Amino acid sequence: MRKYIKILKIEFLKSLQYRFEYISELATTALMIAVNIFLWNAVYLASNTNEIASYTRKDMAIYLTVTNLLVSIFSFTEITRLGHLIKSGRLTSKLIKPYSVKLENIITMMGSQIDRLFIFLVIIIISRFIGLKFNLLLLILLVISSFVMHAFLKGLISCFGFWMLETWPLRGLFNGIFYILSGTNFPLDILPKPIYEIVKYNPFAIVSYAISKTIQNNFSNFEIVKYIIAALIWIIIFNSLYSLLIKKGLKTYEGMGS
Amino acid sequence: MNIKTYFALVKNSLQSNFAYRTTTIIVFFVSFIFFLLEIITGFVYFSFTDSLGGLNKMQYFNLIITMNIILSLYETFCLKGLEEIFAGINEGSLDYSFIRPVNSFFYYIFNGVQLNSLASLVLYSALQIFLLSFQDISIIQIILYVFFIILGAWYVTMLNYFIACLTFFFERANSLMDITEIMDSTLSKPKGIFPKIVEYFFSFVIAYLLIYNTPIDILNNKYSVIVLIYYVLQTAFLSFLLYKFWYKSIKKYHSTS
Repeated sequence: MRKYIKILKIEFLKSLQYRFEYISELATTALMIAVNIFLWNAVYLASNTNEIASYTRKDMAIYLTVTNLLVSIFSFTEITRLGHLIKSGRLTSKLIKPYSVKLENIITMMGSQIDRLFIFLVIIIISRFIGLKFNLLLLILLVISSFVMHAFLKGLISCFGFWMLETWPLRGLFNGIFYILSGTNFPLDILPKPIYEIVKYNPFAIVSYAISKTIQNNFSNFEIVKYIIAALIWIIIFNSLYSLLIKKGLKTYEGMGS
Repeated sequence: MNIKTYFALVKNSLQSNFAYRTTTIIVFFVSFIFFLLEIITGFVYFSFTDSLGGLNKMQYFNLIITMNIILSLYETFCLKGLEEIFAGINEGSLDYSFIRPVNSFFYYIFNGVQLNSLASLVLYSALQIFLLSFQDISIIQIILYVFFIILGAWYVTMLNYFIACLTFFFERANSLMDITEIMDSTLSKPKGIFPKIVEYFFSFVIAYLLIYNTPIDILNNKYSVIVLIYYVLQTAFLSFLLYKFWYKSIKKYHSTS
């Protein structure tokens, strides 16, 4: 276990090295939040109301701020890593090391985003003590289970690198699916009820919509627990598929270029 | 760079597109998924209101499709070289381009075509023609609309290459590449939703809002000739500045060869 903690620590320290990335990410996140709020403000103004589908302007602003902040924690940037290792043959050097490549891949991906997770947790803990009312313990459990679930999903997607020549288009593909199914631009519960019932427990909704609604104290404890259970079920599904694909993928791996 | 060189680059890029068929198809779907997201989001907004930032539903969808046409046009003809620059800086492998007897600025801007973006361009253009067939538009408006779509694509190209030039100065500046992508998706909204100061900044300092809103203003017959002239002049000035900046930037390049 110690070796995986070391990998996590190294990735965390690596991510802290690039301050320029932080600044540009902060600026683009702020822009995304601002534009989404402007858009919804225009909807409130034009419809001459202060409440849309039980969301006041303030509720909507908080919702959009949280979901857009979560985008940087739950990004798909690292899904191309395994593909690069396969294409360059550098995976061979990982295979001969005394650890599981499957776990190393997951831990590395977690490590590269853990700084953002840490900042987010600090923000929610502070906001809990300065006025926002939510169940802090359940929220932290939901965020952490979502984080692990997302890492397993990324691990699963990264296995496509065994069969694809280039994996970078997958980043755009899954970011696109994320934006549609996560409720980043609008709360999912304003969709027609049958559609909402279908999409509400999808993995993208858990990491964005569910966390934001929990912070806004719109979910009962029972509902939050249901989302945590949903995340755990997704972890089991993604882990099984990930194990299967990495096993099949390694059989096709030729170590070209190593 | 002459036309013969350009066609050779186009031929190479098409062959590469066919060799990486899966990538080409996935990238086409990525673009379509984001388009779908914009359309779904548009329907959500208009289920609560009849007007958004001064645009009705039809005008809003005109804006979304126009934004996609402008970006597809830019990606079809000018994106390939940009990717070569970003990869080449990281790997220190731009030498081969710089020693060629061609103008490196134009060599990168017109480095080939992207088939997936061309497919998107055809799809969105057909959609826009279909939507326009329901609207009362004069020939002059159509000519101006097409001209400002091409100008918009050129402006986006200039901004992206300006960012690419910055990567010669900063370490691991790949995240810069995302900035223009996010600017494109966030500032392709109706200009009426923004506070006045933001609207003026992104119209007259960096003309992001003009890129996507000007063609729509033309279709809606709500354009100002002075603003159109200013936009054309700003694009010309930016092109000149970028040309000078490109040659300053490549002096910062370090080869690994």
